[in-house]
Amino acid sequence: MATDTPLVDIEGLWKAYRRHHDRPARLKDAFLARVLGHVHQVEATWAVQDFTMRADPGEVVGLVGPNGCGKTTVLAVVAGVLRPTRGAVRVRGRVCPMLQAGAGFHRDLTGLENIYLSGAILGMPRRQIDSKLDDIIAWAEAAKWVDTPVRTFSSGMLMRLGFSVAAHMEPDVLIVDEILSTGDEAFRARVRGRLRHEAECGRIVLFVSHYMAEVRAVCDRVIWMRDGGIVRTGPTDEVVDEYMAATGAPLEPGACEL
Amino acid sequence: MAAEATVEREELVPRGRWRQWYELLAIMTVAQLKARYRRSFLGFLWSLIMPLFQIVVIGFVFQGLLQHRIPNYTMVFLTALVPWIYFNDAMLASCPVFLRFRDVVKKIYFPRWALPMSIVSSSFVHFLLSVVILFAVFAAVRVRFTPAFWAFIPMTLMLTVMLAGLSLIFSTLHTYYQDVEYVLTAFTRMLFFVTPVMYPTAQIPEHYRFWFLFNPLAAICEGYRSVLPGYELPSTVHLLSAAGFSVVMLLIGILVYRRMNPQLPEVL
Repeated sequence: MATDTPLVDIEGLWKAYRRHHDRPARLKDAFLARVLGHVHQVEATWAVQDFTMRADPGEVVGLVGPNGCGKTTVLAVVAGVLRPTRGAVRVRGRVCPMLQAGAGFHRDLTGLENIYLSGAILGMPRRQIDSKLDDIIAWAEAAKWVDTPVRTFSSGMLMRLGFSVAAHMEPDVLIVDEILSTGDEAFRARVRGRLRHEAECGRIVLFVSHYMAEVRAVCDRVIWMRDGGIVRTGPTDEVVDEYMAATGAPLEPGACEL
Repeated sequence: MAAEATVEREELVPRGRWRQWYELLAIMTVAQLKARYRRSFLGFLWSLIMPLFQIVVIGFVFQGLLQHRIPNYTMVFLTALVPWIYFNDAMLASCPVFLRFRDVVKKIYFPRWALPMSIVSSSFVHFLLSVVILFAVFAAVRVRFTPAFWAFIPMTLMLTVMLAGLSLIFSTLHTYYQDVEYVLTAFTRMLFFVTPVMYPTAQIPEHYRFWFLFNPLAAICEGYRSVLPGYELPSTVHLLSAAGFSVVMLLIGILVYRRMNPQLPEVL
């Protein structure tokens, strides 16, 4: 196996969150709890249980499943934000998540200044931001309002700019976690094209969406999750058909929202 | 199931770490400064009006109402007030910084210490601008510089090292306990009165002066004030203990950050 290509390899991942039922959120509460002798309950909940996957360059892998089934936790482990409780995780290459609309943006700064800010947070060298600046603005169709403060942007504008910055990062592993819900259809079509293009360039794309038509259009493979575990993995159409049958959603593609 | 967790990460294109850190910090600092000065019509000038107001009020109380007159009082107050504001600003602004960027902190790994550090560095730039104005005022009222003028540099270094540590400590603590900011606000307000900012230590009765040795900010404020004629550097012991305090705070800050930082996305 070549060692110079991106790779995401997860084996037997378990992730527990400690759920604090009434963790003191303030010093005052912590102090009172100590004085009154309260002990707050800590309970472990398994967000991800025995999750195994591997993604190779050029693949768009979809994660589907109901809310709270552990998709975001898996992606956060890949991004290096959360540490696994058990399991082996190997990631080769630079991981870049597409942030939610406006995350990492400073409200009072202009779109242009925010491109630099979120580019730096995502780990893009300044020189690269400089050279990609025109592309980022053009791709987001932001030329008209890039000089106004971000607080005046609509959520669609924020998302377009945020996506465009991440799309021009040239990361090895791209994480798209349900951020596209505020985009209009034309933009979403361009995003789908862009994701396919990223995969063709030899990158790995991990894609989460609740819109099955979108999953069908973009993903090569789909992992169906439930309660932190994997229900089924396989080719997109097969798994999506089964998933939709299981959830009772209508099967014909025209009937679901795109 | 595997009994333990292993995470292996490899870079395909290695990047200079220092350069990345420097760029991140620089871009964040500039962003903080721009956001700070842009929102208001007068920008930077506006941030000078509050201290000026303070000087007028306190100056009136001290010079007009109280018996004891201090020559050149405005200058005496101002030289200590400028570093005090640096301290106060950086401390209080660094508290909520992780919470403000929680969307990013929860989504992507990046050197998160850059967030509190960018608060300190942008406060530092603000401080330098204030010092320039302070010198302009010195020149305008024809205050002679004493040879202790160089004391500005070590004092600023001490204060900045201290703030770097404290901002790491309090920004981390604030994510766990969200009233840290209130406690800190109350504490710094109290600290303002027991630190020789609006009065020089020389005005304190002798038998109280011993206690000022325990306040590292007292040494720093008096250190800044020693640029004025008639004021001297604090004793070597006092200065060294303040420097020691700064370094210890930085070490504790690094320790707290390293210990608590991995859990931060889960707590936020």
